[in-house]
Amino acid sequence: MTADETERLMARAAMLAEERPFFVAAALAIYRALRQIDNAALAAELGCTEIGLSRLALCRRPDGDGAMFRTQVERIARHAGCRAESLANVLRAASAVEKMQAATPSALLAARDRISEEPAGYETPIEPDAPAGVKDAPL
Amino acid sequence: MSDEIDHDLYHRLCDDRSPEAQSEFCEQYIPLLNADRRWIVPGVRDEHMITDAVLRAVLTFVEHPERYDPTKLKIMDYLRMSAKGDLRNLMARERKHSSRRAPLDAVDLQRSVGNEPQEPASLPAGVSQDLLLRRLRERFPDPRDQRAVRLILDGAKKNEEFARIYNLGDLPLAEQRVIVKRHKDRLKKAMKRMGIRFRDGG
Repeated sequence: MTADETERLMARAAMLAEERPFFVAAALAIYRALRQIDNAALAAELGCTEIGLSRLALCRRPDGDGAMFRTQVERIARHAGCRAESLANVLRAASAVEKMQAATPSALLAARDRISEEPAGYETPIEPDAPAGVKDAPL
Repeated sequence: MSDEIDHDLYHRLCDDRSPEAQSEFCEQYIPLLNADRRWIVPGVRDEHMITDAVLRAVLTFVEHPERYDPTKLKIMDYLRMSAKGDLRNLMARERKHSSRRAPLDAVDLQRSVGNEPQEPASLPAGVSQDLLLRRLRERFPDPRDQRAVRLILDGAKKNEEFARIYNLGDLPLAEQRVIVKRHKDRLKKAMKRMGIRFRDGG
């Protein structure tokens, strides 16, 4: 099996893992949706390659906080070749979104709708310094 | 691959202090299981479904390593058995799904025009279902949106199905309807931009 084929399989596994909260992939999916960015932009933000992003996505999602959380984030970051600090921020942001969703789903949706009603459309990243958003390619 | 290596990685999977072991296991075993065709149910030729079964088997293994008893089976034997079960489940689900819908009949796909890139001519009717689903997953990274898109493509109309996806069950029905409509409008608008045309004009 070629390296390309393995990368393709890992990317597909990472996509399937997004539906399983056990994996880092679930947190990455939430963060991507929050920032309206694609995998390439997320990889750039984390300072890793796209295969590194698949490796990262397939790690067990660290839980809790404090020293244990930091240690696990550092281990995962080393394995995936990404920046531990950026990864910790992404994981914390995803957890915050999950907590908000559990608490007030309608408030979050209203906030999301406001973003989508911006004149430039929801294709544009929320923050001005974010990487370029996903553009629709015709099928 | 020796059993010694298998067991070392297996023990790390069970160890709370090694969150990267899951990823290492996937990288090692997904290609092995995907290349091994012995477990595949005779007559199944859907490569997408076969790979899905491989991935589901390995993901479930790393999520629940405690279900595996290393004294009874080698890891690869266990994974083959698990993938076979997943493949049967996927086939049963597909049969059930096909019986209550006309696949992708809710939409027509417009061919790209002008300077836009054309899909390879080998694709039936220009676009395969596989390609469509892949593009939709890329376009809608939020898993909830992906599930809602599948419902839209299946022609689902019931409000409660969408409300369940977006976890709106605790809200009054009127509010649920408004929020679901917003979601559906948003998704349909984005899908139209991708070239998907709805036969009902919606």
